[in-house]
Amino acid sequence: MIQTFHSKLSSKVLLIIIITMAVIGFYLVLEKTRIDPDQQMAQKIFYYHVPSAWTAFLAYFMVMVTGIQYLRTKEVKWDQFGLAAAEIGTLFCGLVLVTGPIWAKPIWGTPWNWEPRLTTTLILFLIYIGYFMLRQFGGTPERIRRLAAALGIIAFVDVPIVYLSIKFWAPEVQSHPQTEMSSQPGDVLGTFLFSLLMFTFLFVYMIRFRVHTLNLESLRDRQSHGV
Amino acid sequence: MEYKYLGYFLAVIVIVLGSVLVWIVRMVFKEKLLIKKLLFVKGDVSEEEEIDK
Repeated sequence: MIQTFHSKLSSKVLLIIIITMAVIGFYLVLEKTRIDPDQQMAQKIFYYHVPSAWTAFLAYFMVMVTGIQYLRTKEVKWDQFGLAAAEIGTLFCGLVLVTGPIWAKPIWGTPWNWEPRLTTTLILFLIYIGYFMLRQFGGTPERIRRLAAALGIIAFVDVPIVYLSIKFWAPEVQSHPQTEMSSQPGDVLGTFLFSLLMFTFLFVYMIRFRVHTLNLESLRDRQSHGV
Repeated sequence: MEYKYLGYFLAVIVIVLGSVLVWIVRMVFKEKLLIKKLLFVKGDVSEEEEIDK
């Protein structure tokens, strides 16, 4: 008996939690957080832009961990988790690269400048484009899995560089707000953490769903090869 | 309430939620297709009917 993903109770419950949190989160962002006098509504983009970056980093961390696990054990399930995390991480990294310039247009007056955090995020995104090209053209399945695991481990080096880039480079080239989250007022911090939690649940849901379809794909491949 | 730059904010909402929604719908169709293929190879019609329910 083949089960669909949404026939599992845990998947349904997770999806309902995410939808409820998304609606509550939207209300909190719109109605319960203060408006920045300089940035106005553009500041509220932050509640979606930063959690997208968090989700991408979390996914890439998972790619690294599963890469290590695959090289250690050679179990295909780690490769499947790694591939699922890489796909979802790249989706959210793409969202960061799209929503960032939407915020920057009214605030900086230009959607893009080559400042450290933007540039290193773009590099991270391009590394993962390379990762998927490797997945497509890397040779035998075993070789692809091995190389993808190694690349996933190496690629993670760029994540702390993205995070710390605003400290690495000279302050005069920085355009990102340099505020500490812990010093933010309660309404801002509370809503931000709520949004972060919602995106984390969304990440868990997406990973589980993607791994489920990858399992079906490998089952189909085994069947078509008569194994 | 001040609504300056509201369009930028709404654009972000549409892009983020829209992308996630498209991803989920794509996965649902992918899953459905894979299950159909698996059942077709097995030749098990009764299971297919059960999933369609």
